[in-house]
Amino acid sequence: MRKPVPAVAEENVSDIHVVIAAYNEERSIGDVISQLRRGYSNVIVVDDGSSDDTSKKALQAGATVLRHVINRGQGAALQTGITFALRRGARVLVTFDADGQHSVEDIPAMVAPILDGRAQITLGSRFIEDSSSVPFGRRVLLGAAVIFTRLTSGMQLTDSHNGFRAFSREAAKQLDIRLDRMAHASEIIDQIRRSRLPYLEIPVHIRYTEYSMAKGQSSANAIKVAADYLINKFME
Amino acid sequence: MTAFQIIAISFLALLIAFSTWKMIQKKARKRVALTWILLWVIALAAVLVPDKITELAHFLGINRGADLILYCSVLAGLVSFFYLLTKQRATQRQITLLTRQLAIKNADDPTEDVKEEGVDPEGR
Repeated sequence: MRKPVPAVAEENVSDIHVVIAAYNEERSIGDVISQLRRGYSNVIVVDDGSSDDTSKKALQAGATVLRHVINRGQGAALQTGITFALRRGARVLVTFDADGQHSVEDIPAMVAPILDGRAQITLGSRFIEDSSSVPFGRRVLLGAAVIFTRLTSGMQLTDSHNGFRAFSREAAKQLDIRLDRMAHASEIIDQIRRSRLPYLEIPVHIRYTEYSMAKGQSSANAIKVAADYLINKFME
Repeated sequence: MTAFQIIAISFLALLIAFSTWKMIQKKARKRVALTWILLWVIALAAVLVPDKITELAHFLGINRGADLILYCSVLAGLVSFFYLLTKQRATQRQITLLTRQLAIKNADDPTEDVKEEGVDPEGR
């Protein structure tokens, strides 16, 4: 069992900004924001050019909503949300998925090391503790992603492609996501390594639902994502 | 003169006339237009005196004049491909930055009391 992490102290809550990139997530975004808003007042949703009611649902649930007039990809949307949160004075930034696979209960554990100065960045990992709930196909794909990350960046992570991350203001300022689409996950890791800022992996629980599985990345797409990343390394 | 030469020469003559006309009408920049005209003239020479191209090919250690032209075209194609790829990436980056600025500028913030009730979230 993991040690229970106490809830985030009242005086720190307003320092935390949760950033969500959402593309056609009208089915899940409302619930995700409602749950977040119970503990965290600053929830920023970047609607990445959705054709459904994602923006409306997010606004109704009480989030600050930014809209990409055209779809630019998850990497681009996250950077938009991060830039905005920094302008609003965020001291801790949390990136969270819109499809409901992350747990709000994991946020205190993610931000605690940043608030008490043990790390500048925390990365959620579904493989530190019992990962039996991770479906087989996901495990194979994510395992490949971890190996890919070790080969390309040399970072020894257990879960390189988890969208649950937390950054201190200083770390977020150094972040500059240029890979607009899904390859940003590898790019962020590269930038963390280059920044030499202290980071920690934190065990988090991922809820796999039919919905989140359908919204997730397919194995076939993974090759495209890897190619996008490698081409960028080559062209830089 | 072969049938091919007649077709190619008339086509190239048209292109030269077109580029010249554009330059005179100031619809193209002088340097750009002159570069094109130079290219057409080289092509014209290659069609008129293919033996000279073959000589040049031999001088460069290539067997046939046609091969020399083929290699040059492939090279030109590759160069334009990478040029366009770079341009395309830069354009994509600019579109993202533009989209980002728009999104930040038009943020819908429920904590700001300036927003009226019942505002259309689409902003229309």
